[in-house]
Amino acid sequence: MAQWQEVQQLEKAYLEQVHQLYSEDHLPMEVRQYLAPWLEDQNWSRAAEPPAAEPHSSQAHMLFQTLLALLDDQYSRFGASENDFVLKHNLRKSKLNLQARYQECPEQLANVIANLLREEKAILSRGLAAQQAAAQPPASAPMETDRQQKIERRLAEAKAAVQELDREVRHLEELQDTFDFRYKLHRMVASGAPPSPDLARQTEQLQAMLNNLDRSRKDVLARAQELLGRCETLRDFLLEELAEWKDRQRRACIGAACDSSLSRLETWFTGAAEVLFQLWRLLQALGDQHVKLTYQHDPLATQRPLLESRLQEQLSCLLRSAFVVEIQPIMPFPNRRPLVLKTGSKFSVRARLLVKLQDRSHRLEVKIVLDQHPPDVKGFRKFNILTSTSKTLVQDDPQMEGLVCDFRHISLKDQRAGASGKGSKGASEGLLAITEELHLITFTLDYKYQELALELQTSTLPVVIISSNNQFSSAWASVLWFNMLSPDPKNQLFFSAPPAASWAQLAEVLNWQFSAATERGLDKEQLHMLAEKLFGPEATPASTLTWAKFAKDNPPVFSFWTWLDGILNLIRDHLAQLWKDGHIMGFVSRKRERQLLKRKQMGTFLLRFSESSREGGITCSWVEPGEKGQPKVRSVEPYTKMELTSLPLPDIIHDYQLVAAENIPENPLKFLYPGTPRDEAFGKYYTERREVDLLERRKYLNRRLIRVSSRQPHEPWLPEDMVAAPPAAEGLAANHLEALELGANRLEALEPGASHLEPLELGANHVEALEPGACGLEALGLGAYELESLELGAYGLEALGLGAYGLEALEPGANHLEALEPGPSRLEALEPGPSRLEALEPGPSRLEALEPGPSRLEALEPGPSRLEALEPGASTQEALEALKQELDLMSFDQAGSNVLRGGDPYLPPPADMPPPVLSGNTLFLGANDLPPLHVDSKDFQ
Amino acid sequence: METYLPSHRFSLGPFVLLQSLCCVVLWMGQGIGCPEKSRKSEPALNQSMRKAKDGEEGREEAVERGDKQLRALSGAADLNNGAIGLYNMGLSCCLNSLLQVFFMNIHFTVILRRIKVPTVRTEQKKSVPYQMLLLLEQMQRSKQRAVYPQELVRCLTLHNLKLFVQYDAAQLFLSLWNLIKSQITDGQLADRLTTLYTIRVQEYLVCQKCSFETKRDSNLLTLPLPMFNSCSQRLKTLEDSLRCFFQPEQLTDSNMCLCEQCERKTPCLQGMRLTCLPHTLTLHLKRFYYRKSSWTQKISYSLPFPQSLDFNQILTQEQCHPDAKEKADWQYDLFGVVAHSGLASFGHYCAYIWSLTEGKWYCFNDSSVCQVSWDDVKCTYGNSHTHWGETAYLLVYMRKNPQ
Repeated sequence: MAQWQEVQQLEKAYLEQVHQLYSEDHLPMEVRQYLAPWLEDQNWSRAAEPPAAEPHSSQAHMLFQTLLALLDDQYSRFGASENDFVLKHNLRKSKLNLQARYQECPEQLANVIANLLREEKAILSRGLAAQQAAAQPPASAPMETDRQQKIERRLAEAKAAVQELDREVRHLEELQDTFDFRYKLHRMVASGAPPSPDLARQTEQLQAMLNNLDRSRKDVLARAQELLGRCETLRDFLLEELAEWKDRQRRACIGAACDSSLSRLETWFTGAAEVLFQLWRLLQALGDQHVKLTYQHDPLATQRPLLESRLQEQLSCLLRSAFVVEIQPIMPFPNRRPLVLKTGSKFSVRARLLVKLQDRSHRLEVKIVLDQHPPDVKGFRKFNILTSTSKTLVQDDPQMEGLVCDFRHISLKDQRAGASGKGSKGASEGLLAITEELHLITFTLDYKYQELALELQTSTLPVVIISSNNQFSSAWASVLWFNMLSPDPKNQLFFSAPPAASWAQLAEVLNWQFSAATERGLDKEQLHMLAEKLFGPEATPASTLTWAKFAKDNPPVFSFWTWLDGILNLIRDHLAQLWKDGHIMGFVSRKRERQLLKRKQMGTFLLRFSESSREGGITCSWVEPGEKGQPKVRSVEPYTKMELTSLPLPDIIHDYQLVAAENIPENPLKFLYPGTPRDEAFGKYYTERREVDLLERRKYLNRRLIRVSSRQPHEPWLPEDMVAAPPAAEGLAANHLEALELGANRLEALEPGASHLEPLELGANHVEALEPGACGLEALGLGAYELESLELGAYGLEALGLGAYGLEALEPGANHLEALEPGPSRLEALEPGPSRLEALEPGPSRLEALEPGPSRLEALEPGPSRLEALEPGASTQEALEALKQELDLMSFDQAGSNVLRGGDPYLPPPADMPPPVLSGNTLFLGANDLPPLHVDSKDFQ
Repeated sequence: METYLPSHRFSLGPFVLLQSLCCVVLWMGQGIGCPEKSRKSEPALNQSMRKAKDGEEGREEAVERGDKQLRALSGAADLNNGAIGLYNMGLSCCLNSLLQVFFMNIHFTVILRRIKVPTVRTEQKKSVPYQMLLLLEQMQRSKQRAVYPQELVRCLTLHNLKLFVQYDAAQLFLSLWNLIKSQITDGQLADRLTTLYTIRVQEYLVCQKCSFETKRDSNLLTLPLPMFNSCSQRLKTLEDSLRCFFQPEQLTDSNMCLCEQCERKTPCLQGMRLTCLPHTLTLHLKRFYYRKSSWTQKISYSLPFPQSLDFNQILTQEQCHPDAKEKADWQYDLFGVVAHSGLASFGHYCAYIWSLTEGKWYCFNDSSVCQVSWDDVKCTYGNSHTHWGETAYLLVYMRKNPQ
């Protein structure tokens, strides 16, 4: 904006100063107003200092005449209206005044104007500074740092300075032309003519002009030196800012939440480059002037080359650093983890030139190459980049701002893949493991703008190239370690001697992993636990962890990272909401857990990640009264993704029951640490249960899949430390269902036989106690024999080598209910593979004969489609739902189930006995109401 | 509001390039005669000299009273005109930078103002301090942004300091300072100048065999600080460089010295003890080095220097002379940086100077002067990636004010 316009927008106090400035009669304000652009564009101070030999500076004189002419011009432009009449009068008066006053001494006027303009500038800068100061507090919204403000200010100053210099160079040209003309004239006259006082005077004048020219050249050069010096500072600031951006980008790559936008940097870099390019043009103009006119000790001859070299160096430095990788290589799919590429998978990467200056005529082509200078390491893999390796830098893409080139859908191919067949690398082949081999993608741009041609290069951060998805986790560990610790962002041999990380660094990065993947980072306590796990109780922020300890699996021991990444996956897939809402304490040591829980009321529990599960497991620990009245802390064996896939953790918590012979089964999980009632904490996550209308309630029992643990009354609790040991080591104590299912020995304990009857009954008992549905089952006439055969079936299944899953599905009572409960979709999940289904078949077929449940179970397992095929009767989902509801109904009412147990639930009724008649305030209003758990296919129609 | 008095401007006078000084010759090789320098400004200058002499007695006392008054007195006189540039008289950017460092130092100008003016005109023309004083006066009275130091330059050429020669700033500083000192006739004043600038050290040589110590006192105008340590490793900071400078050196093998006591060549330990640090301390970074069979090279890598320097934290007890007084005063603030840009054989000097009266940094590029910030000064730390940028060459530190 022109100075005069800016001045007029100043605040009142400063405007007052301006008025004062023009109150004296040196230069009327209307003249300033009408001729504002012209006045500001002249070099008045130069005109005010005439060379000694010329009493009337030609320049001041010329400017004075031009001023008068311009005023005349302005005068003639006014119309005949009344307003204009006054204006015309004033302007005419001003012109006459000026003429009268400065006719003889135009330098004085030049001086006056020069001073006025300088004063104006001073007022303006004071006014703007005050405005800025006033506007600062609210305007600081985007959190400008000190340096950013400095950059803005310096950029503005540099722009102003280069404009000023531009003007001076033009004036220099004028001076030179005038001199040149007069000198040539003089020579023509002087040649041959005898020396005369007149000639001598002319020579004198010419010398004065030349001296003036010489001084002006020196001035311009000194200004250019100064401007370059200031631009160096600006450039340093920009480089610092860019380095910070790179650092932010690096941290953002490994999960930190950083702003990695480039638009401000682009504005700055472009602005700075514009200034430098303009200065370059000016230096070239000076070079032209030098060619036209030079003299001994011409400062242009000695100083300009220096300036040009310095400027060129600055420009190339600026441009080289302005070429950056805006988006680091990333594959489109998994979980926001860039810098890990898989052969054959598409990825994208984007480079950008922050100096947005481009010659339309010159196409800016970018080439990419992988590992331009591959490190000299044996077995270092080589890859080809598939599809195109060059692209044009485009500016006008409406979807993307800036001068960018976007490589998309490119992929890598191992060069040896074809030759050696596999492409996988033997451990002995190379020094570095595949996931420790770092590769660089380098962009090369042939930049040309105006007359500057440069080859610019930039590289991505090192990428890890894998060939299969199971290397992803360890590849990511490498990316983390590199970006956390490598001082040199291009060191491809970083892992030949990876440094150790301090806990302070590691903690931050681990925190990012959680906040990036799950929107909730780790708190102080959680980090503390991790530190203790890694470094023992004396952990300090300075404790260091080696790369090998962090990420090197050494089967069967898995590394810290494998463990942590397993938990990350578990959280992301199954526990996202609970974690995000802070209900999972997660990382807490057993010792700490006991400390925390013992002080709390009985039934307080917390959720903790298993430390022994490779794939990530979560467990509940709660406090309950121990033998001597002392609080005891107990934990359930960790749930892994296997279990959580079938049943969400909140539901597990809600329905969890603990059984012991002398106890009424109850949910030990009452308060989430520190004291939130369970349902208050988890209520909103429970799977919604269907409200059933009364009619339907009659048809079916309700049922629901829950988790149960049991333990025998006389069995001592294992020492805490052993709880996490493999189930086989736990002995017979069936303190929870899964554990029970896992070992064959447990089933053996349940084998039929007189001596075994009790445990068997116990089994039946807790089935019954926990599952009203099972109670119904019992009531329907499951005798000892049936139970036995049921067990045998289970045993047989076990003998068939089924995993826990299949067995679980066959466990009495709970199991088929479990199988039945969630509806077809859940069933699918429960029964992962058809192979297992097949394996189940022999058992259930026997069970089928005994009771309707198993047959349904069998029928249900394959999922809806198979269901139809196998069970003509149970084809409708509706019927299934009805059954489910009925079961629900039963399980809801504890009283009802008590009554159900009324007769002697522990003893099987005679085989031929009808189902026991229930009385009292049971849910089942009469024997006939006892819903058809004992069903045949008709019920489903 | 500033008043502008055009008539006053002219009285200060136009100046002309003297042919003898800067012979302006046209491209055709034809010189154009020019008149003798106008003498218009001469009376004015003499007048101011008289003023200076009148005030001398009063000033004398003030000096004794210490910094504070001194600053108030001379500060008002010295900088009533802000910072003024000096035109380049032909590769004289080095001289200009040094002159600015001298002129902005109020402790120096106090001495300069008290010199005896030579009575004979030819003497006047030959006297460096007098010409400097004239130039200073001219700068302070100038209404222009820059003045020509032609008289001083001419005076210097009389003393074999030629124009159009690339000077090394450290070397020129030494020559200039010696000229000034030798031409100050008042012995007391010359001593004051010496005290203001001289670093006193004691060099010693200890025989490793018999522990016989040879000592020698020397005076230094600058401390020539190395960029590399004895193992040719880059030094990281100015403090490291200072430490390295005072580090004793083992002289063995061919470097062995004759020990008077042992009467034969023995391995020795050579070192330096600091006796006295002056008020104005000049440090010289040895950025230019001479490689065999090649040109002088410039080391442009970064060597950060602090804004304030405490020698008590840098030197060990052994590196200070036991007689060293005022050790508590060995605390310095950065006052000026003479920076070089370009190559060793071909470059430009500019000066960054802290104005003691205004409390601001200025950058002097010949005729162009601008106010800058500490960031700009920091920019002269150097940068190993660039060869043409500005790098600090001379560092001038000034003793911290007791207040």
